[in-house]
Amino acid sequence: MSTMKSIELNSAALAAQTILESSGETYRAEETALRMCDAFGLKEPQIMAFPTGFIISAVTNGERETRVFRVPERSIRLDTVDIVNNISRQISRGKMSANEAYDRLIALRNLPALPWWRGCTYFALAAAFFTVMFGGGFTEFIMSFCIGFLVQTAQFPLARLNFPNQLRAFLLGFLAAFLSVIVLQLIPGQQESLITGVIMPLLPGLSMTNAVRDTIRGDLISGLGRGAEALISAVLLSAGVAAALLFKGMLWTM
Amino acid sequence: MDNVVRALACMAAACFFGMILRQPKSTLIYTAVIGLVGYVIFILMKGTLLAFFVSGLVVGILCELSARIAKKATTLFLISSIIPTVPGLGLYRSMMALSENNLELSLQIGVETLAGIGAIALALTIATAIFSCIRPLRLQRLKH
Repeated sequence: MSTMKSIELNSAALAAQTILESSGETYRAEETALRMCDAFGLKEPQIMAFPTGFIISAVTNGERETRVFRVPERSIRLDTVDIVNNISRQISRGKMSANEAYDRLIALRNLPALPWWRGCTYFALAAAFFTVMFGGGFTEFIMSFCIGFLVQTAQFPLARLNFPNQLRAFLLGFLAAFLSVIVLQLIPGQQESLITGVIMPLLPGLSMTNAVRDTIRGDLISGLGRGAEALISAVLLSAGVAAALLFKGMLWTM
Repeated sequence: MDNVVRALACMAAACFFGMILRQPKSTLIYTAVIGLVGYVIFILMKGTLLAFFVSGLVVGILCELSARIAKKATTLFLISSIIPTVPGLGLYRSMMALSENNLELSLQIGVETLAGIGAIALALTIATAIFSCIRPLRLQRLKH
């Protein structure tokens, strides 16, 4: 088995893996890998991808080679999806070799993550502006910023504890609503715009759009899985909010 | 004046939501504008079920178009453009009614909210389907 052929299959597999890990659509991972295999001259490429893993195989030098990959952890990084997309476009135009693609994908995967405080600041600003969009004033803007920052910061210890993903939505919803209620007891303001603004960035917009797009391309399993994910986290998020509001009602009547 | 502030806030919110998702910087201006267009349509149509559908459809089509103009993947535009239209307010109001023991109102708003999400998903499906007719052909050519 020649190593040259292997690296071509490996780089196609690495591209698919990177897309799945950055929460790209499943069909995109399949299409990118197929396009790369085709451009590298691999015969009979086949790929079967799910949001949590994929199998890729192709014939190299008269022998069929297969790779199996698991994607245990996913994060949201649309910039990575975009770069992999560009790499695959260049490959299918014949402007990039397998070795070069492999090196670039490895370098891309080793890029450092965003510092936590910047992610939290973006989240806090998004929450604050959503609050204003729902009719909040300047006081609510400031409150929403602080609560949003705290809620996003709370995701890190939860992630480290390996907390189940869906229960995380419940806890974050609870935290967002409960902190809002507490703050509003100290400083008067609008409850509706504040809580809604903070939970807006927590809504599963990505799962929903990806579910739609996977279903359209005939990737039914991924579509259903992502749809269920979106529905469950939306329901749990609202359950968290309801729990916080009920809890506040109990405390105040005591 | 109030409406201008809210419109600007909508654009900023869509923009920062895109930054949480780590969207490429060049796409942020598109998503801010498309997000605003979707939200304005939603408000002008008084937030009915049809409003969810129409603004989802417009957002979907604008995203597919801008993806083709900027030569980037559609997902990069879609997620943060649709987020201002997603019914977070209905979700909150439904839970608020639930905590006040008003089950009837809570169910009513809750079902409306779920139907709204369904309408957005359907609209995005239609918008994507219109544009995806071209792509599978190219993939078939690749496969043989």
